[in-house]
Amino acid sequence: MELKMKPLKHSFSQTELYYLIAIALFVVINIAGLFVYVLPERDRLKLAKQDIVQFSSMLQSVQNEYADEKIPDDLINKLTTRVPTERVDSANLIFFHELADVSQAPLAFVKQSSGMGEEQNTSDSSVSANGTMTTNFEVTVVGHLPSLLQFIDNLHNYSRLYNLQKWSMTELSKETINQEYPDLYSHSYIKKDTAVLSMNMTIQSYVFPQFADAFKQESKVEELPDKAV
Amino acid sequence: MKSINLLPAKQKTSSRNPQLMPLLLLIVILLLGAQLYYVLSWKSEGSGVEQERLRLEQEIDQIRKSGDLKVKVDGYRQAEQILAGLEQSRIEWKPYLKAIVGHLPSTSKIVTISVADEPKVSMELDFKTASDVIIYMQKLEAEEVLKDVVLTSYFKKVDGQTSSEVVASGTTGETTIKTVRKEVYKLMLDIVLADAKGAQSDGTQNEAP
Repeated sequence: MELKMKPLKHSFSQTELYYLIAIALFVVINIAGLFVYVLPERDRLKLAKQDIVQFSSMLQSVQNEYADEKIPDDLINKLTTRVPTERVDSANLIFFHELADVSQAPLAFVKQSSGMGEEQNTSDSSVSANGTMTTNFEVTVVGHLPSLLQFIDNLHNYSRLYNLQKWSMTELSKETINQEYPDLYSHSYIKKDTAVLSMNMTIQSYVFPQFADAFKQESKVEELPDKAV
Repeated sequence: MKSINLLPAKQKTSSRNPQLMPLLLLIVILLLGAQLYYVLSWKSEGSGVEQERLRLEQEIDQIRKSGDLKVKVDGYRQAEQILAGLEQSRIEWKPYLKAIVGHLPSTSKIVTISVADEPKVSMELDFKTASDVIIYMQKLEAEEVLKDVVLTSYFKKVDGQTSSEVVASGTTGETTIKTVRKEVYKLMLDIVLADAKGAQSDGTQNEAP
């Protein structure tokens, strides 16, 4: 007996072969399309949607942070000129000198003194409950009566806010002038035949440190996220 | 001898499903179509999402451009209020001083004028004659910006010092030098200011002579 161990041939017809090639081709195209177009497109969309969520949240935050009105810079400047947000003592001294010159009442004495009772005192200034810092100055000027009145008026009308809280005028005798202000008559506007008075004042100056950050917020605007799509 | 074939029976060609291949081809074509559909659909959706993103971005920019940070706006309003309060608490001295100093006769002398915390002016003045004192006080009392003019003290003070004065003697017009004692009429007053705020509006009514 003879045993046939040869497998039988499994042959495809030509049509089946075409089908197989076409199927294989489409499978390859499918796989390529999946990795080249479908998945990246899906990821882009996913990222874009994440962006939308981020932007929506930012819009919400911007709506909460921003008011629907704008304060022009000149108004802010005007306010900070009237009451600055930073304490600069030299500015006060320059001001007293200029005011004395303009008013023709030479500046004799300036001293910084402590603030008022109810407020929280530091060494030479006080901070009120609303955060306003008040500094008291004891200032003395000498001159003729019209000059002293002019000093008071100029102080009131100056662009920066000062408050003349207390003041007193006293006529100076010739002896006092010679002893305490020996160079007083070197000023052309001080006349020897007219009474000279000394005026001691307590002048308050104000600073708004509590608004310093608020008025500098422009530069701290949050950046928009980068475009993902 | 009869041969025996032990191999598995040859499948008949007819036993394969003839629609299998076309079906498989159809499936892979459909899969490709589905991929195309999703890509186009996601692209379209992505375009909508991009539009939405641009809209949100524009809205955020618009809000930022049309308004300031609330902390700045609120801070400005609060600062304005505090400033107004500080302005309100100030006293404009000009109208009061015009009223007080403006009526002083040229022969009078200011010894001291002082203002403490209260809106009250304390004065010490020297006058040459008693009538000057009375006229001055009457003028002060007529001033609207001064509420109360309170006489603290008034007296004639004669100094030990003397001064020389030229006086006419007789009807011939001759003059002689007379040595007289220096005397002044001292007046001390406390003046209460009517209304520190009201004075600002009334200030223009009190022009110094």
